[in-house]
Amino acid sequence: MAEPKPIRRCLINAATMALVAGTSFLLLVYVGFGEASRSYEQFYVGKLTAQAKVLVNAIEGFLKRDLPLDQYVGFRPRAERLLSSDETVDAISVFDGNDQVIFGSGDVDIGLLHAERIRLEKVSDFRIDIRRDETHLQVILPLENDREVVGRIAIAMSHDLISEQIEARFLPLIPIVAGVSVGFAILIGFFSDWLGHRRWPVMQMIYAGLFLLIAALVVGNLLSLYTKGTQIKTKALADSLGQRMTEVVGFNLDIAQIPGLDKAFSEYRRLNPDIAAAALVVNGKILIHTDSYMVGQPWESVQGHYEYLVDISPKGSLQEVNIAVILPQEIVYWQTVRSVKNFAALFVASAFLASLFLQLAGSVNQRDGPGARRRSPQTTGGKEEQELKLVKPVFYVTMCVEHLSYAFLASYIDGVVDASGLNAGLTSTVFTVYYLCFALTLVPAGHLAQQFSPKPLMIFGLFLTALSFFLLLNGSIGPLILARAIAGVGQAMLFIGVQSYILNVAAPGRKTQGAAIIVYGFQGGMISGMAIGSLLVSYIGPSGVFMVGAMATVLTLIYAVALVPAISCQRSKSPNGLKGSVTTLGRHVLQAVGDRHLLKAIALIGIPAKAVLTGVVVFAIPLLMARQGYRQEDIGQLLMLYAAAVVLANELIARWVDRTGNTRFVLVVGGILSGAGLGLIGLLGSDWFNEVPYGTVVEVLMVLIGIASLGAAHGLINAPIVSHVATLALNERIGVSALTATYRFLERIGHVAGPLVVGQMFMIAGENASVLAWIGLGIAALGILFFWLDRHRTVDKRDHEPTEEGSLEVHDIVGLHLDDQHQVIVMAMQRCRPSKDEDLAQAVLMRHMRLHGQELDPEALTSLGETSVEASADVSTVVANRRHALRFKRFLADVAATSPPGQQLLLITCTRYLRACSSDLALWLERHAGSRLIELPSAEDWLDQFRGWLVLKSLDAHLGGEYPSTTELMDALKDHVSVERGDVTWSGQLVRQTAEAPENPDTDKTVRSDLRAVSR
Amino acid sequence: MNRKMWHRAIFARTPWLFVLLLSVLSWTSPLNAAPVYAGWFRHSENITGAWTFEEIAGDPNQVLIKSTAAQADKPKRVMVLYPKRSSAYDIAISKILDVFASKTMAIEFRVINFENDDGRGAAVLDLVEQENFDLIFSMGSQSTAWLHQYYRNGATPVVTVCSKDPVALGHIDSYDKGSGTNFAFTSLNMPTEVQVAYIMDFMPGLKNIGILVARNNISAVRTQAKPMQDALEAKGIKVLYLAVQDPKNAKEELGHLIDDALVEMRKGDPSLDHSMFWITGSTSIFREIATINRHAGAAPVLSAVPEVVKAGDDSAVMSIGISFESNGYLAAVYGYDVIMGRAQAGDLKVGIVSPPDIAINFRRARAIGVEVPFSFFESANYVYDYEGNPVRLRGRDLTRNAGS
Repeated sequence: MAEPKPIRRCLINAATMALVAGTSFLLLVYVGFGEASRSYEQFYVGKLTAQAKVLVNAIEGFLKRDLPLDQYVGFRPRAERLLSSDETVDAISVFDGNDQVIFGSGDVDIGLLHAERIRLEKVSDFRIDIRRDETHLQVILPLENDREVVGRIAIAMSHDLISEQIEARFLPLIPIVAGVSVGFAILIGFFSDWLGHRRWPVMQMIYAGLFLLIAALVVGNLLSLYTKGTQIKTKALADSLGQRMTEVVGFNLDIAQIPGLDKAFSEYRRLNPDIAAAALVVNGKILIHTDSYMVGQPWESVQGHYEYLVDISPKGSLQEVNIAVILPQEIVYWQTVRSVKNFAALFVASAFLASLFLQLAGSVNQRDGPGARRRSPQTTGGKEEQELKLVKPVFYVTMCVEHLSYAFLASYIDGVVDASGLNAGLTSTVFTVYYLCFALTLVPAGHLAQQFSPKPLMIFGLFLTALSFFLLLNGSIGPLILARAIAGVGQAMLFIGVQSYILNVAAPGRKTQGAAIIVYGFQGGMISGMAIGSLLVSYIGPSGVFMVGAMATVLTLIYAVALVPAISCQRSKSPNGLKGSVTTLGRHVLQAVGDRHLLKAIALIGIPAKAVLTGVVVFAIPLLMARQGYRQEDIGQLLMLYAAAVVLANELIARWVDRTGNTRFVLVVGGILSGAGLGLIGLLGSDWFNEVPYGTVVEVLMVLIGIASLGAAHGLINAPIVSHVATLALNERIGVSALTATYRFLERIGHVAGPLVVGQMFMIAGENASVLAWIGLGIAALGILFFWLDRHRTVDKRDHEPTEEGSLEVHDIVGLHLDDQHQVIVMAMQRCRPSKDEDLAQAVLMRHMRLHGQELDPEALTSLGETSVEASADVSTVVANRRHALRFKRFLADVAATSPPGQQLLLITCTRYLRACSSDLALWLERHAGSRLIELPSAEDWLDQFRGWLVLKSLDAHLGGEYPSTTELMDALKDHVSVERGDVTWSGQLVRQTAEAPENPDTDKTVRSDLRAVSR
Repeated sequence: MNRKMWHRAIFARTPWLFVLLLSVLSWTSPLNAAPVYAGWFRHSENITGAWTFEEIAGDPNQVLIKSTAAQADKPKRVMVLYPKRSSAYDIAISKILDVFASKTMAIEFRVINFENDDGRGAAVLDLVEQENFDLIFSMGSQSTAWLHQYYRNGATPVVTVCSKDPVALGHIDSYDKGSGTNFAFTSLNMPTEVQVAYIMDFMPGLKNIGILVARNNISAVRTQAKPMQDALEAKGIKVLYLAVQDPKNAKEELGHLIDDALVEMRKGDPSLDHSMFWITGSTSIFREIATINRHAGAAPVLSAVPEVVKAGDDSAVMSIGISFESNGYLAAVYGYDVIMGRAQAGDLKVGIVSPPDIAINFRRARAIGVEVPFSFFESANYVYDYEGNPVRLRGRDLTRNAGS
């Protein structure tokens, strides 16, 4: 049993968790509040717009006869009737072309909200301006004759009316959040030990449950608000119509003497097409109805419809006169669902952020946080883990910020280009600038990271990213291009900086965790960024989103400067520096393009997939959808669907590919599916949808399926193509790592070319979605061509077989021991042919290092040396790490015991505590004549390369998940090194493990096996 | 009846006769006698409390108006020049006084009816310059024409009231800039094309229209009747130009003119469903609305003067135009700015009230069986119900206010 913790420690833990839980829960409430503010305000905007349109309709009927606006008769009575019918409206004013007030009713001092104080935005109807200041919300509509805009009408209401209703629902959640957070904190603070020893991750489950509870409360409030909001416009217009009819009735006028009353009802329905009908009902009998057939019929309620009755009976009259309006309930449901959909997107983003918070807290609360269960006693409190977690927000936030604008960036750039009077084709070029600069920066950035330190690179990358956002605020074409170029450079530097940081900081046992940061940051950041950005843009406009991005990046920059530790980077192995790196890359590229198999994979699958990503997904789809009138939030959510489909398909297919090794089939399916998805997206805006029943619904479904298919297709391609490339014979010449890196570099041609190609196609064929269908056809054809050309190729059986220069063959892996102090692999070797090389073990090592991208001179390798074996120290003397050392000792003993006598063994170890084990090693070597021990004191050497490769493989399949138990790690490794295509075929099975720590067996990562492994 | 009976009847009613005699005497006594200017100058009762109205001894054509509020400063002095009596001027001066009452400034008005007499007019101008008046309100088109002829570029600024379109009358070149002289113009006219548009909306299939105007009212002829005639004829509508030759004999002339016009109208429109009469801004015409209605029969009578639509039966069915009250309001604002030195009269562009007013009398509409489109009902600032009572004034629902 663990010793009871001091109360002070418990309180600190509780306070930390209260802060973290409270922050994440509050974030959720805030997201709900923000969404409610935005959506609920939109309901009022819709209402104000409809009310204003009633006036616009009357005034434009006058203007369209070429009559001057200021001579329009009837503004005041109409406006005052509207003001009387709706107390939320403060003012209605008409302005001439010079923004001078012509007519005004209500609080005319509100005027036209000043441009400097407003946030101007465009909604789906691009003719409507929505302005806000500290006190008022104003909807402005143009007044047009047949040729031009001659004035504007503005209708204003107080913000407070909206915010009061929202606050009334959300403020009561604050004490609930506080209570829940404190309760959770107390639970974690005082019962973490007990919870940590449960079979299930109870703390995580409690946290998730509470998160869902708060989410349910938020959604409940949203539903309530939305249900009310969807009816605001209908009710207001019904009141307005009632007010218009009140005087006819109140003056006791004969309706028959006033022609045009029925037109007023028809006009009302035209302005508010959601409603099913409107009628004037006198003593229960319909006098006027939008359906003339109903005139004279008795009024009856309709099931499944909301019914609004406005009583306009004159005072003292015996007649009961009502305006009746009916609204289908399904309209309310659909609008509510639409708003909840927006919240759902934000919920996903919040969940990512909450997860980030929780892990940060876990870093602080190292021992007792909710994530404690996942850490072994050996690793908890490890400096590396903390350093890794500290860099996590940097990458996540930057990715999130970069994707904030993706839903509308294409339209925005297009608008800027158009406003500058430049050729529309420049839009795609601006897109390309980013990817080009990104690709060109990778190599120099990698060199800088190794020459100096990742932290300055990260910081400079963040600085450039922030700078790019500030430049975007300018809104003109020059700064826009510069901004995208700088963003490309900055993002590349940041990416390399974070990657180098992780590689340098992560202990060998945490490479997976480290690499997961990149995956988590990219996928999570992308999904969150798109969700948040696409919703924000309709609230604060593109400039506002850029400003948010700039601010978030600046805060991240400050965070990075203050909290991310400066680490010293191990020196590059490229003795010639940047020039050497570039030369090596160039040589590899030449070798790669000379290989027909690689060329097929790159040209027919890899590059097209990346070109579709940047040219279609990021550039063309948002542009076309915006043109089709889709809301920015819908575009963002569709792109989220794409991202989610990529992740899901990747998750599902990677294991299958690793198991079967059939990458070709997957790639072909990916190519064809990609083409099919593009074909469906190509139907966007087709006239065909106007001719079929529920055409709009069908169109949306087609686009949804198309986007999901495209995402799934890219999920099928992204990871498998790397596996595919790794199986090519070319890796024999340049090594797997180098080949993979070369492929990654070459596929960026697709990134760069995508927007350019699609942009040119738009220029030639016009900006319509059918271009995407043609692209889809081409992509599918390329996939089929790849299948046909590659049909005779089989996986090269010689992969990883010893080359002629190798004279010693790895025959078996007899032991693998991994903990945070010892990383040892023991392989059985057999001589396969005579060789002049006396040091056969060194020859094997060199070959493997080359396979993994490490070009070393034999002299350099020799310097690694052979450790002299001394019996001067015993492992038991290293008290602090006794348990590790004892396990290592037992591992060696087991290996020795299970290895056939006389077998030559090569023991490669990275342990820094070799001397502590020297007596055991000496004994071991004595028993195995001809065996060799090679010590690799640097984590960057062969074993690390081997393990890094395993980590990358597991990352593709598992998105960087940690392995909480030895068994799971072993299973994962087995999955990835088994079956034909890997460096090693692992054909054995786990039969025994080293002794498990009695107090916490699940967290022991020591692995020892006598798996049979046959080198192929 | 014999003599005795006469005596009995008289003496039996003596107390009543005595009361009646006293009443007549008291009404005709100097204490309660109408002011000498009452024949040509009247004002709204609403402004009585704010102003005092004094006769000028020996001159029935003058009235001095002073504010009842305590005035510490030396009052500004404003001359108002009438050419004749007119109900339109009564409305306009009432509005002007109402506006200045709200300004709480020290001011007095002297209103003089110069009766279109050059000699009297010259004396008024002498008075203005000798006593350093701050402003002249030129009331009516005739005053404006006379002042423009004899006092253009004079020392004292002039603001026109109840005057017709100064551009059409040749007083100024354009609507968009000032006169450059001591004149600031306002206009009673609304654009003819707007007026025509509303007429066509009211009666889309219009075939005949009779335009009623006084021949000697040059301003009405030039700025209202002729432009309207041209615009409607351009649309293929038959226009009957009905000009009264002698305003003093307007009632009789109008009867003949309208009767003859109806005969002409019935040739193409036997039921008169697509025919109407249009009254221009000639006082001598629109004050005979009862006569016009009586003769027009089923043909609706519309007017360019909102005040012609009023309570009761003696009203046009509908009017579309600028009211004297609105014009008076705008002139008062111009005058105030000039007096206070905020603007130079010559810099002010032509003041045109917008939008015009629509007034509807449903009693008249029902009487002749005319339908009123809902859009007109919604836009009207003045509405009279079937009883002939006002139910909406200046856009306000009087029935609602009464109820509350």
